[in-house]
Amino acid sequence: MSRDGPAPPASAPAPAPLLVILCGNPLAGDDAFGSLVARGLEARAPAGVEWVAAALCPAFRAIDLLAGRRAIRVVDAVRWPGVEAGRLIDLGWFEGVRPHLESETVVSTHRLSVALELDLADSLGLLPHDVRLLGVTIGPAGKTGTRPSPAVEQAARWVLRKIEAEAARALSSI
Amino acid sequence: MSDEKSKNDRGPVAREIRVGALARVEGEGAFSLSIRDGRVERACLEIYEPPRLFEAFLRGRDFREVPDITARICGICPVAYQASACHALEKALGIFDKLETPIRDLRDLFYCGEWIESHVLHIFLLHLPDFLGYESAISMAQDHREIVRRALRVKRAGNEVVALLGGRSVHPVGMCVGGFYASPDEASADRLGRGVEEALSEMVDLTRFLAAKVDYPVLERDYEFVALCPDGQYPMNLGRIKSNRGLDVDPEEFEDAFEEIQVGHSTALHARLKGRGSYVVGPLARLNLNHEKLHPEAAALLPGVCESVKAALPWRNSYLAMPARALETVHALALARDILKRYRRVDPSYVPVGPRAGQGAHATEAPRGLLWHRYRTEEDGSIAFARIVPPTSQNQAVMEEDLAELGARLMDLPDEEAALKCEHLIRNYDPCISCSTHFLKFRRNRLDTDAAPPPDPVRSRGETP
Repeated sequence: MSRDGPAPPASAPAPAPLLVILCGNPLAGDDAFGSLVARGLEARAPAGVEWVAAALCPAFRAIDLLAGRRAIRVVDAVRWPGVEAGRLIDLGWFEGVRPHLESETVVSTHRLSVALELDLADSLGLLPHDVRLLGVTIGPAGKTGTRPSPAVEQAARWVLRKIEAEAARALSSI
Repeated sequence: MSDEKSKNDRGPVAREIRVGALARVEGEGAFSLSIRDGRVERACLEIYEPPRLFEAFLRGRDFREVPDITARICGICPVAYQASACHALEKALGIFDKLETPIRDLRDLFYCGEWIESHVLHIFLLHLPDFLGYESAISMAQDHREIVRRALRVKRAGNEVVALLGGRSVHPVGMCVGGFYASPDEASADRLGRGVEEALSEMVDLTRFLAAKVDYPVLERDYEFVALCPDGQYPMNLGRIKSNRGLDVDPEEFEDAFEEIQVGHSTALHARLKGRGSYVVGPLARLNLNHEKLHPEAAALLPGVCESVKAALPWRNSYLAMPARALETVHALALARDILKRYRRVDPSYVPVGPRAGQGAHATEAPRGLLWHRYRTEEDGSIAFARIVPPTSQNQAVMEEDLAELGARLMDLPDEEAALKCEHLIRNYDPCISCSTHFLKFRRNRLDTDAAPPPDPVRSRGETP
């Protein structure tokens, strides 16, 4: 389920083991990748997964969502110099080879980048060990209003399947 | 990006640089300090984000759309924009005096949520690293993990208050002209009240920490402090506009006392008191003018805080804006807790309102200071005219004056170190230009002795509706 409302009641069940943070602009061609995955999650609503759209998450809010998670997945389209568009990505968040995300160093009262938010959570000891980036490499972001390419739509389906499998695995390990 | 060379009678002078290409991120600014013969000649806070034209595109819109449109001006203080807009329109539409205590309480509660999240975010994640010598909250968190974790818990309480009344914590949509679209159920309020109580306890401890463990630089100036000053309550949604130098006007009379001017180096208008000049809005102004109206739980902390920071009120040192914010956060948490504790569902949650021709102006206290709106409506309820004066524009002139004062003390420091100290000073005001920790591009120009200062065209804001 997606969430940005009042606090859950004190008797609320434990949070879903897998938190997915989705980055993407639905109006910007291939950069809509995270939004495509969000649409798929809305439609399938797999058990064991909670997801949040980074763009709708105020600065430092994602940290509030980390407690009790077994795994975090960041979903985004990335531009990775030297790597052709359409490459699927599944990398550990803290692996040195991870490509930088757009606006990775942004910090203000309005906005904290997902990357910095995860860094801060790591400094605070709030991050589970299992944090990965799921994505696809893209070329220059499309014009506003353009549709994602077939390659990106296919990659979104791949990420959806992966999330469902990982959620099932996380649930079975509880 | 490129050097601009200007000429005067004495020939070319290398003295000015434009940094326009960096204006791609919302709210970026720059700062320059010009020094001649060991003296600060000019300090400029440059805001070059393109004008956003909200006042213009509100024209012709239905009055009911205004709160949600103006809320989009700011991602961290949307409640303030909604509150100023709603109150001003309620005056224009003749229902301002019909709003009763339960709805006004909800508005205060909503505002408390915004103060809590905005103040805590600024104090602990953007500003405290300056005082403790860290480059960011992330590096600070490695050494002060518990402080940051507690601060995040307090901030979360603020987010949840906003979400309770606004439907969501970012760009909330709950407030409307006349009240709220809906009011929360009592069980949700009760549950949140317990969380706010815990956050209050955390914030009391954190405020003591900030007072006792942080060394505050001293830069005292004889400011004119301007804030709302309501009778019997700390300012938030209501009150006359007053200052420590005798200003006392109704928000409807704002334009009689204040003016905005355009300066060449900023796309944000500078505000000043007519015939008097710069002034300060924000937590320091509110506290200095209203400290006796703090919630008792915040007031109880005040003597100890004053003793720890070695300064009696009024505080004329802008670095003390940080403990002022902390005290206001305690106030907001205690007030929110009280409102939630006595809460009974408000039904109906708004005063019915219809279109009419009218005019109204109102100011509320955004986290960063006075936020003033004025609207004129047509018979059909459409907006004929809108004017908005945000707090950061009101503080720009005084920030530049502070920088000039500080710059004179930094002559012997290397540029990089001087830049850090200037950035720190600017963050005292928590300027809402998406104040990223690296938002300032620092320039210190050492001018030739014979060089003339760069021109800075100034013109008044057009007043014609």
